[in-house]
Amino acid sequence: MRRFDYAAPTQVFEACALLADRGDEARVLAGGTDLIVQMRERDRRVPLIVSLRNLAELKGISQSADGSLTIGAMATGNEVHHSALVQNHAFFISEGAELLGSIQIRNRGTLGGNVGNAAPSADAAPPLVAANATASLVGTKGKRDVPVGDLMTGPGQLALEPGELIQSFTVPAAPAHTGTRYVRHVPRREMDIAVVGIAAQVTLEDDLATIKDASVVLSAVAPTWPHATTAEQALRGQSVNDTTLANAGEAAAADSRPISDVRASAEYRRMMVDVYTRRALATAIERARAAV
Amino acid sequence: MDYPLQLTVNGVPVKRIVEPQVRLLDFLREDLGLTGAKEGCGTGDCGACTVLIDGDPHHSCLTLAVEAEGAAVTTVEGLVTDDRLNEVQSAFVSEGATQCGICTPGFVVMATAYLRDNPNPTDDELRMGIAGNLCRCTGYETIVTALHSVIDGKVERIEVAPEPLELVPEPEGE
Repeated sequence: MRRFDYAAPTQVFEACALLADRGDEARVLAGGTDLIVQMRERDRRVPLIVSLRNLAELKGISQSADGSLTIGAMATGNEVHHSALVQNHAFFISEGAELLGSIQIRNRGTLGGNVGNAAPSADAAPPLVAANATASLVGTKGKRDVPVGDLMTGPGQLALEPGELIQSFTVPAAPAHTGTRYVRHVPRREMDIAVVGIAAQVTLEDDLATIKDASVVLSAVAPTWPHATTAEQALRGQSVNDTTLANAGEAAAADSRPISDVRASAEYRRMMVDVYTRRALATAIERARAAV
Repeated sequence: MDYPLQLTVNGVPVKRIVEPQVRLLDFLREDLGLTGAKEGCGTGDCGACTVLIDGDPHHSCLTLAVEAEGAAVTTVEGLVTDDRLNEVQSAFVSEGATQCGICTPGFVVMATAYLRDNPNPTDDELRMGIAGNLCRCTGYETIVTALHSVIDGKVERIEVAPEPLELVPEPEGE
């Protein structure tokens, strides 16, 4: 690896000032599971690494009085996966985090890193989008909140200002009778990258037979993590039955914009969006019925 | 600029000056002479470089040494206590769960942490627990058999010749 300078500030404003000051010359280090590999494999010259490891404001998982959940950007995959708070609040965020690499990767890789790396095939980010989470950004000009769904603008691209950091994610409390599911299709069970990922959140009416609201977010089949908006419209107000799920699956496949690559063809991906949307919705509905 | 680094390695306090681009793996192997952790892929896929950081398994190839500041690091060498191999190490010996040996330290460290946190996994859970460790000799069955013998409480810790854990001394004049 090429030589670089290293800073591990203890104050968020110091980190932001360094990043703003050095611009493209500085890179943020969270867990390093992507960055260290990129720096070695692409022999990338990075003059300054700003480590986030000493920033207390970016750590921890907590619930607020209004019922929302805040997850620090530096929460690791294993912390998010095993957190009872996360599991009770939005189970699919825990499910997505469990799919990040191996146990070793999940001890280093962070939720903020999974979002910040902006890979279309991310597993932990799509559930945040489906749960209508916001990212709290902090920069030299202060703080702002942005929906996680608006943060990624393309592969590897984030709508961050120079000097801005992701501090945390806030996930609003879900209404009663809400269930969630993140499921992905991979050729092998572990240590692989999604061919298709589907994050689904479903809220049922009190009759537990009618869909009040639904959120379906796609992974690995578009340049970002988009809502399958046609599928969501096809679900709202409908009775829970096979036809409704089939219609949603077809609509989600039409909403996807996959490419062909070494893992799968675009055509195969589109078919799998249909299948996995139906599966994700079926489990989310089952969980919504079991929820209090 | 080089960086002062203080950490504990296998219970021994260590104080060194390191360059920031040095990975924990290289620091352990080259600066301290602990060659147990191996470099397989160098990209976080194979697990051969697994060490414990504050008790949790991490890839030492994806960790900068400076990021281990203040941490307690345990390598495969540090699993020997009271002149005996630990149960996982002993089971690997008894079951012959090793061929070329490159993946073995990573498997041993990972499995030691996994079975500490999950003492009674199902066979499926156990296999998922070590899914981040690859064996290119495809010796997985003997590895799984060895770990089942640990789970079943059938392992006697093997005595080894006393060998004080010696780290390469700190260079003079730093």
